Amino acid sequence: MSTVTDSQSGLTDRRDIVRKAATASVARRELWSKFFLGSLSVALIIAFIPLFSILQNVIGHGWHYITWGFLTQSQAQPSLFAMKTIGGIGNAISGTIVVDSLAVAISIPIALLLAVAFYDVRSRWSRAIRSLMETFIGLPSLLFGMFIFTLFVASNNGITKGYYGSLALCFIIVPVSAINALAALESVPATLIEAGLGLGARPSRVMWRIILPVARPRIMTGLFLAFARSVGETAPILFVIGVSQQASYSLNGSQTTLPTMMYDYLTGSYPSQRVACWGIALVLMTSVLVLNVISRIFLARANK
Amino acid sequence: MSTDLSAQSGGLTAGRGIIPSASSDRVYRLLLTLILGVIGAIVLAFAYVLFHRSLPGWQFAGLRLFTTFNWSFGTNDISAWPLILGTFVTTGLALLLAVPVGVGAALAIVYLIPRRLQLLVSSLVELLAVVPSIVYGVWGAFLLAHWLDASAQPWLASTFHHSWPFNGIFTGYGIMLGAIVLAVMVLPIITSITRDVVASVPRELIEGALSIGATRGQVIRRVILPSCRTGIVGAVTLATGRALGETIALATVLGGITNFSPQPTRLFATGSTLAAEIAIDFGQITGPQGNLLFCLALILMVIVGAVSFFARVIIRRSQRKFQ
Repeated sequence: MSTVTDSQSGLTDRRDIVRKAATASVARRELWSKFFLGSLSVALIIAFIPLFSILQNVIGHGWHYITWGFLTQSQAQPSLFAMKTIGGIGNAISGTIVVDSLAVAISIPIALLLAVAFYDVRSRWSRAIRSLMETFIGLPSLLFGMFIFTLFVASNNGITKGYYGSLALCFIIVPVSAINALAALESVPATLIEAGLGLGARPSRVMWRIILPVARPRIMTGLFLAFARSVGETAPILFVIGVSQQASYSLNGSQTTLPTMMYDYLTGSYPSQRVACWGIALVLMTSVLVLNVISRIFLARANK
Repeated sequence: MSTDLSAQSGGLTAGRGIIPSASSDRVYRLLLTLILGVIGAIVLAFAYVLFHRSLPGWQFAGLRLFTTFNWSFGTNDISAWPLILGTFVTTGLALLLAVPVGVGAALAIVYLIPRRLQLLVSSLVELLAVVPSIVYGVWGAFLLAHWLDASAQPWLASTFHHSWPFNGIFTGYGIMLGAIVLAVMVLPIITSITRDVVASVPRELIEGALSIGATRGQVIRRVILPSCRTGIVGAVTLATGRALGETIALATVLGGITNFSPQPTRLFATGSTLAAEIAIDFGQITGPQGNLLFCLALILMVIVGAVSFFARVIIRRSQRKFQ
């Protein structure tokens, strides 16, 4: 140890320098890395804030509205003398049920046929329609309302009807569920189809007996997602279904759905109605969530 | 002929030229052709009706829609600029907020969260996508507007000494609130698509980078982000399309156009967007200027249609990359 030569000491010095520099570099890069990963976690936390704020407020402000009377009675018009009279949301619940059920009932066969056509007809025309449907998914839903309004309401002296709203909602449900159903059909293994065709089954029979049953869980997933989206829609139906202050299951008269009632209350001038939006929001969000959970159950079944 | 063959391959009825098809199959094919025709006709009718209804509007306003600067519905002082600018400003600000948070959250979900919790956390973030837009409107108008008015906007104004863009009066409602609400609404779109793209980056790329001594942060920034660029751009474009067309939530939080300063030039200014203004003014659709709303709808349709078309092109290209 005592006889360290010059060159040796130079070597260890240089080794020390290199080691120090390397340690510093690793430490610096680790620090940057930690900082970067930390900022990612912050982003995730920020992404959660609005969700918790919405859930907390919708539940916190809305839950005490949830009484049997609120859910079943029709809305009542508050007046200057009875500001707190708002009645219930029974008319909006019945309206939502009939308008959205009809929309789904019309949409299911159309969306299924369309998906099968996209799958089986390989022509330029079919591809063009398919990319038009994909564009329709992204179009503002308000435009569909304007189309239905022009076609039916404006030409009919401004008379609004519940089923016009259903027709407008079809423009939302059909593209979403048709494109999703197409993806479902395409996920069916080719071996199954070839086995069916190999046995001599006609294409229509293969589609009906093999492809559609195998793809059914995924098709249902897309359908319920589209259904959930349509239940929350306001813009397309706001101007075509009018307002019905009495609970009715008729689609031939004006109707009120939960979202249009909320918009009506929100833009109205009575504070009691404005605050009641939280209660309606809770009912609306619960129903939309239930539909989403159903779609997830179908998805889990499809992935099994 | 070759195009014919490639067009036929894959379809169930590929060999129908060889095997004479049974009558039930002719019905099947007829039905499919019919539905394609009907849907095509409806799409054409949709475009034609909106265009046709807007014609009187174009005749009435003509170039005034683009050469004057105030949207004062019901008067001759009518211009689409405040609405077009409002649409782009709110969407741009919303993306400025939502893109870093959305992409960061997606990366955090894939690389920082334990695998067992990933599904739970990502479906919680995507829960934002199922909240109806009217609920966002209520949340923004009741809660955020009050918070902005009472704390955030006074603080911003005094911190920046009332300099642009934090100048002028504030009420909570306006461009700033609209941008925040929009950002929250498009956040789940960005996060869910980015998460899918990020999760599909090949392991070899990541392991290669780690083996030559890159830190985890470097791997994400230098390897994962560049290889996901097209996918993220596609997600952002899709979110842009959704933000441009958002109607009801913005109609309730933007506060409307004021005649003395119609343009959205300040963060605290109130304003409107193409879609929101149509919803607000729809009560006068049968009035003398109702056709103008169809002009707005046409402008909106062209903008959104172009954006969503590009989104699909970009996403398709990014999907092809790793296949």
